[in-house]
Amino acid sequence: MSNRQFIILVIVLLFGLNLNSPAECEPFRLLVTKFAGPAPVSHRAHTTVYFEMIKAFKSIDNPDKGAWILYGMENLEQQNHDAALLAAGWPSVRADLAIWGQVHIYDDGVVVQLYLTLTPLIKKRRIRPELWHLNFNDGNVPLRLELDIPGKFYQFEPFLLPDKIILAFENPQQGIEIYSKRQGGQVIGTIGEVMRFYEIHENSILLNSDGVKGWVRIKPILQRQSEAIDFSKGVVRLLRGDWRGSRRSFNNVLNYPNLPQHLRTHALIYIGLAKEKAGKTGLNEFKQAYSINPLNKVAAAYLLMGRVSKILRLKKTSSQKQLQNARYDLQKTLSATRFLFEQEDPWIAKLKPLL
Amino acid sequence: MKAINLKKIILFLVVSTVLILISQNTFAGAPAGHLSSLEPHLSNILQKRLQYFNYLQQIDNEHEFSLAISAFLWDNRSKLAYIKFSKAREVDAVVCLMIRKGYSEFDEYYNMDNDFCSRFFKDTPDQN
Repeated sequence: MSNRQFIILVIVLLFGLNLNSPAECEPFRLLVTKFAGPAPVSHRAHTTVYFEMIKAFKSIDNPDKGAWILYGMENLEQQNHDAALLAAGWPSVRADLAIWGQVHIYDDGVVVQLYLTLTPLIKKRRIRPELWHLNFNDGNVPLRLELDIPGKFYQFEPFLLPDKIILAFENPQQGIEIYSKRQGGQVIGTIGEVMRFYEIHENSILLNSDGVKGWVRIKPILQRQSEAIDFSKGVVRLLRGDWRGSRRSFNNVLNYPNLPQHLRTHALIYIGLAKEKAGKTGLNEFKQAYSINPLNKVAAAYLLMGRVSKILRLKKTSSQKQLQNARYDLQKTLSATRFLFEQEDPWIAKLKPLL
Repeated sequence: MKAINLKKIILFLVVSTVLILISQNTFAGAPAGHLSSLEPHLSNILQKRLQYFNYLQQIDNEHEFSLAISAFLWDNRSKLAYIKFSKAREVDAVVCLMIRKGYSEFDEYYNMDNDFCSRFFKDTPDQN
């Protein structure tokens, strides 16, 4: 091989790397535990929710990379968050998120009660897109404000899964068919133990399992059926740095009637966070979240952070009047929320140079 | 000669990087506890330790890895509370045995807040 050919080969390989490398992404692991409830219905509902959650890794019509979605084979020891943390914390599992729940038989379907547990492993990742930090100076001293996501455990409203949507399989390896085409075509195999995903669509997935590459057809869980699925997808997308996808999911959450207040507050915060991360202002969402409950310290912190973000953006422009107004707004918000924080709170102390 | 060696080194580095990124590019599903789904670091240290104990000849052969796990558990059954584990828990039992034997590379997988390893062992302390 000549020198020129060698250089071209290296350039092509490196270019290929850049095209395929995930941007700011780290291997992510989601566990969907076995659901409690009468068999085989609970197992089928479990399989259905498992495939629905695969779609959470869809990123702007392209599948996400660097992720494992694990199918729990054992019951939780107890139906609580600690048991979910244990199940996710096994060395062989090491999941960042766990989705778990219970199933109850209903007239023409099942009622599913879902929970979402964010495990401490999230904080151990090298790359954490969900962390929001702002850097500025106090004179010559660099300061950094940081906020972590507010939630660790979520409980959702029960929802109905109609019979016609529930997959008739008690686990993915029980014979779910793989087709040669996305529509039509013929059955070319069934899902084995390990699946590698290539394309994710609302009602079909292109995958390879045990050497068979083809399409699996999944009926989507209707959008209005459960805020649990949309909220969980939103959290997955947020933790993966998929800002557009997470906003879409959390905006869907906000459309649910009778949405519990704590879910509404966090959905607004997450939308605001995703907007800020994408270079836009999330101040409107942070204001809405705070207005739901002015005694909510987390909502107050995000509102303060949103105001700081606005000040730092305005500092880059020449509008002194707008900057002055933004500082005044920060002062006003701080006065209204100061009592929620401890007297010597170091996070609050960092706001002083901006006032 | 030097130029050829440099080429080989650069090509090796690029290919290695590609292989690492391919693993990061994986998007896959599996039963929890499946050998394919293990974190790469855990899979690596487990296989190296099993190879050290001569349970494993070839790294990255899933079939051999599975047999090595079963063989290791069988040979250490006197320490374990159960002889048979569910497939989902076999790797965890092996990790706990490794931790108990004092192999520090597994320490990060031990959770002090939740001593899940204690459920695998009999009450008698490890004599080794």
